[in-house]
Amino acid sequence: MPSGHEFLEHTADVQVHVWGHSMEALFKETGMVLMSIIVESGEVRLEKQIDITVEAEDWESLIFDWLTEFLYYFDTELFVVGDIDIHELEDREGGEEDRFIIKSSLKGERYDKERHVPGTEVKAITYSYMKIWQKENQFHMKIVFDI
Amino acid sequence: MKDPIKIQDNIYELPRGKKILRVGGEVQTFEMEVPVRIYANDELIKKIKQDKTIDQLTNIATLPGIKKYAIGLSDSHQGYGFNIGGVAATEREEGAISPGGVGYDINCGVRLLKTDLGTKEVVPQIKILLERLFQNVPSGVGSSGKIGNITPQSMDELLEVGVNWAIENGYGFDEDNLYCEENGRLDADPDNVSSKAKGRGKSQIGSLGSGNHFLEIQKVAEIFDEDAAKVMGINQVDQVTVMIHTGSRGFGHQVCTDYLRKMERAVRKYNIQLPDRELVYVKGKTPEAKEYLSAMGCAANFAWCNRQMIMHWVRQSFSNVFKQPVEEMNMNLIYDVCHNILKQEEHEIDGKKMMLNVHRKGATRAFPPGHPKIPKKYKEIGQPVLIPGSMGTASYLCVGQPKAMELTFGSTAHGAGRHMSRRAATRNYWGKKVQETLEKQGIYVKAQRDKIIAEEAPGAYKPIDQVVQVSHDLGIIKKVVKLLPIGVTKG
Repeated sequence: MPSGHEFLEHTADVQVHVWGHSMEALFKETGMVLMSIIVESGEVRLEKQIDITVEAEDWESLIFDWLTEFLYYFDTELFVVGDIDIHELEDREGGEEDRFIIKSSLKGERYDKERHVPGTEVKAITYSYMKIWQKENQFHMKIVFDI
Repeated sequence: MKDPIKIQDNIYELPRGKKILRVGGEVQTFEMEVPVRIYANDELIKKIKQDKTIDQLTNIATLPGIKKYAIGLSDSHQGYGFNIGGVAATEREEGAISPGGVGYDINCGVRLLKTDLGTKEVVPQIKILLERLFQNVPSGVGSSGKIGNITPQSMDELLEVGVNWAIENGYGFDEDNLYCEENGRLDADPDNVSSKAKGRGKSQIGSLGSGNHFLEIQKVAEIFDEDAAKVMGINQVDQVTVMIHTGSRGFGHQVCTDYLRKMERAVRKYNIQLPDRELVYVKGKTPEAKEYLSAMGCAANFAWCNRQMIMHWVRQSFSNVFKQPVEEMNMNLIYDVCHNILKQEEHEIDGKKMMLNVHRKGATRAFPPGHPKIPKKYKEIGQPVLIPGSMGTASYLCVGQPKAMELTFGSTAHGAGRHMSRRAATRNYWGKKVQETLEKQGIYVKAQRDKIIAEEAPGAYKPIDQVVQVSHDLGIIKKVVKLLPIGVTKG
């Protein structure tokens, strides 16, 4: 089954249910959903690449920190993500505590008023009612974005 | 979940109890330290019960050192960790300090300025005026401030001195800081703010943003208390005012995000169990709490500067359209309130005065007459309180009253509060149609896109008149002036 998502009802913010056949697919789909809230539509040219590596203590905080980078690059460089390569995504066991790591490249370009249809600013990623689970070889996540 | 019990008109309570939750695969018991209190009428409580507000309030009630009640105000709705429209006051040293109790948009707030103009003068110019405001005040997705790149030194100075930075740099008048909560400055230490936050703030200082933030031209529709209104410079029906609603932009969002993550590490260090990950806290006496407060202060100062600069451009736009120098327009700031903030304040509990950490998340301070924190001009009438409605509905200018100190730690509601999700709103309303309907009512809306008008349609919000009436009837605030929009710009 391909990756996908559905928006859920939430009084004030945006809640989304995302799925994918692997953790990589799940992360990638969530990243693209986040971007589609900020910039609703319009062709995104893959002119620039930003490499992002994040480490965290569990899957939830890994996605939280990784998506926060998207907001940072949009706010500071108006960087619109059009595609994502995930080079590495793993749970590195050993040592005192587990480390979770993602190595990725965000590909896209600077926001262009003429071509890109603006959506809503996303203020922050939240842990609110966040849930990551696996069911029948499919990975799922529920996440709330503060807008 | 048990239902809250009505204990008197406009007051509902849910008694203390245990919460048994599955956290990280383990079943854990959390004890509510105080009851939950909700101030709402019979209709509003029904709306409040529809989402997770009450569940979130019972989580807040488990925070250490929380005093009296976990409070939900009449505009309460579901938030993240903490509900929106709430107050949680904890003991200064042994009580919790939680970034979630302030929110991502630190010092999101509202300011109101008066004009000497009436609808007679303004309505014929409304479209030109909105156009000018739209040009002069950056708004919408990807909006950056127009002051260019601010140097790191200037940024640090801004973060330390708050609204005074803007005033000293030519945005507004010397006396403007008198009419901001805390005179527009909280104690702050820029060294405790990440370079990421400063990076996000650098390009956005002096911009409105998007979502529910707005800039609104209003007219006085009704005066309830002539004497108090006069003190604030409001003399007659149809007088024109301007309201600005925005916060600390990406800067504050990043500060909150950074400290949620820092406190998560602290939570493990101090071995704290949480009913909801978004509710991370540390005790007030810890170094982590003090660091957070000094960073939150920076974000609060950033927001005051932001609103000050926008106000300056509003004054310039009016001056330009009405061809009168800014100094002669008498566009005085009535007041500026914060509605996402933590303040350390003195309150009386069981006859004893004590210092508390008052988290106001979607709540407005409402201090009564005579309170030492109120500017001299307003000592006798009470602190001005601004409660904006949704786009196209009324806003209220009120004053704080004595009961606020007893019932809500000197706080009241902060706005209408949504009751319909943005998605539901776009299914139920069509932007252009909403715009047309409003225009027939004499309200011009200029937005970056149609969809935002649908998302912010008046029907998606709780009825503001009732939200305000609850606080008025409880003696928390007194209504002074009702304002109706005549022109709105949205990002």
